[in-house]
Amino acid sequence: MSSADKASIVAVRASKWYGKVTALQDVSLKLDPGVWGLLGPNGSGKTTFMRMCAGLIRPSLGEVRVCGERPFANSRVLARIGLCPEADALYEDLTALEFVTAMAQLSGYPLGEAKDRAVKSLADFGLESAMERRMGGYSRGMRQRAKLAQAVVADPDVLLLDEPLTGTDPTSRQVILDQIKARAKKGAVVLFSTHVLHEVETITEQVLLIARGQVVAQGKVHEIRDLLEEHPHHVRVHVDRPRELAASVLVSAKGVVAVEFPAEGTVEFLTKEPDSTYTSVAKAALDGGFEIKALTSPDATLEALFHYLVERSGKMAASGADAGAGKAPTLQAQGYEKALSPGAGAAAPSAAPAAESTREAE
Amino acid sequence: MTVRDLGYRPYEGVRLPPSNNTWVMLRQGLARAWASWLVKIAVFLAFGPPLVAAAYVVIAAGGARMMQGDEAAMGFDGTVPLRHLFTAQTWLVVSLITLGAGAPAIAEDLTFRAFQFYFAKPVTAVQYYAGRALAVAVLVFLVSFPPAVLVDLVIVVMTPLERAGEQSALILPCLVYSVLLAAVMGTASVAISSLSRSRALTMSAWILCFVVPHALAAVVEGIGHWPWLYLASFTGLLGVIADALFHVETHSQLLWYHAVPVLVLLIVGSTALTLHRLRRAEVIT
Repeated sequence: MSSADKASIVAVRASKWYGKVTALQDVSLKLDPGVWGLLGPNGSGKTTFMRMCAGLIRPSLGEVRVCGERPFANSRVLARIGLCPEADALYEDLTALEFVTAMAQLSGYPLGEAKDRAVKSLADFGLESAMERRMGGYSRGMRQRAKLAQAVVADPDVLLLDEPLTGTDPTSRQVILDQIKARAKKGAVVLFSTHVLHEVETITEQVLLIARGQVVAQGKVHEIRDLLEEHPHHVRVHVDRPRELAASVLVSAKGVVAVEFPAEGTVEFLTKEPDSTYTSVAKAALDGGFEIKALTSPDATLEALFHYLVERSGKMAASGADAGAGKAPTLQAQGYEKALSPGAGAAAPSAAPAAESTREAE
Repeated sequence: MTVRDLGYRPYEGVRLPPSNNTWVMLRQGLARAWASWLVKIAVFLAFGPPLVAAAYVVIAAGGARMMQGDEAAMGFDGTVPLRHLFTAQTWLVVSLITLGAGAPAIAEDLTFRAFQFYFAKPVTAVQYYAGRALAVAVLVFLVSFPPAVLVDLVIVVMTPLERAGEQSALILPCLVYSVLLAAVMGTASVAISSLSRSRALTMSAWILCFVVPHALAAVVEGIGHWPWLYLASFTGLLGVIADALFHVETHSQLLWYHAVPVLVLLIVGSTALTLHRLRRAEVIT
């Protein structure tokens, strides 16, 4: 099998902008067969990257190669790609069987075979009893499964799933996850986008983190978790005597790096060991008779991690760590990849020395 | 029921080339068009004008022949019922078909964000457009040419044998006109459908394009004897060409060689506009 035949996604400094809006910036990566989670908050560029891989849009700069070729208007490559788009929009007056059959025909199968494959795909996603009903009457989860069935109907080598679990119930979710795993086992590259870390954990260890159009990290899920723990955590307490509570907590809590009083009756701890801080707050409240009105964490874990990574990227760029290499945004991402998973294989060879210099600058 | 119960076997044949997708899009376009109740009504109505035309031929030519012999039927002009048949089919049937299948075609795909499904498959913008416009054109052709052939057959049967050759030759102008009608209606209505994602808007725009210029031109010609406003009405221009094809005498200064370039420009312009809109929409959606 030549390299052009092998299922893969390669992006080299791919960027996309719409007027003055940058949707994707300098993304470089290489994805081999298996399931890859593409994690990022809403508006981070996940869909743009997916659409670029699916040949729906052209990069403004750089390139994306799927199975060794550029996908835009390339029928050879498009025949090997399956896309499940995020938008919850389907022909309401068509049955799922009609829709998926038409999609199979467009992938090159004669009508009879296309219908057989459509039946198989729909059955795989648990829609065998509903496939002859109009999709206008489907629930959100059923529509999602119909979209997935059309994506896999031609047994694609590259499967691009944009938020495939949105709106699905636990049973549908399990069916979808099983199917995704099965496709990856057959040697397909499955790129699975979501903004929920937990969804990715159930299906793969390999994740890409994307924020503000940049890949800010690539590695294993547990490494992302480690990074979450490393990331200073905010604990905010609304209490009657904030200064006294702060004094009590500081005596016993480990890892507190800063204390702030953002508003009257509020104290906020910045800690690297949130568990210890929560325990100390509880203990201090009991011992000192504090009246605690609320105990919250302003961090939305993954969202906060994205911001943390992006801020770190910004600081590193400002420190000039990457300036010598002249490839600032990409190399920041490569630097994180290195930090998360040494030798993870996604970095372009030229990026490695700069990645090390990035870490030194830290 | 499991997949195996349904008799599924893995496919071992060759996948069809991407060029086949034009036909897939055409078949899909025809199926989608048939889902429109306007198209169903149009097809039902399509039987009316030919029946009336055939009845007229039977009464006018057959009756005269029966009452007064072959000589009386020799002077029967077959072009008249055919010319009127096309007018009736255009205003009564083709208008509904283009309204139900053409004007909402691309707007509907924009509403359902279907482009991402098509263009992530080996389908090009040209194939997509060809499929959509051909589906409308095929329907228009089917409601215009076969009824004309049937009426012409009745004409041939009802007129004396000496004129059978001449009358059957009327099939040629019928074919030319039907092809032109299908091309104009297919491209123009689909071009209108690409202008907005609102079906209500594109369908309203199509009604306006179909009726208003023609009505205005008729008023202006009626009052001021100035026929040139028909250049802005594709239905009017098609009428001018039909008159020329069926040798209908006209006093208008507007002749077929004025109409043909405008209609060709309309077909080319509609195609270019639609492809431009498709390529833009591909990026936006």
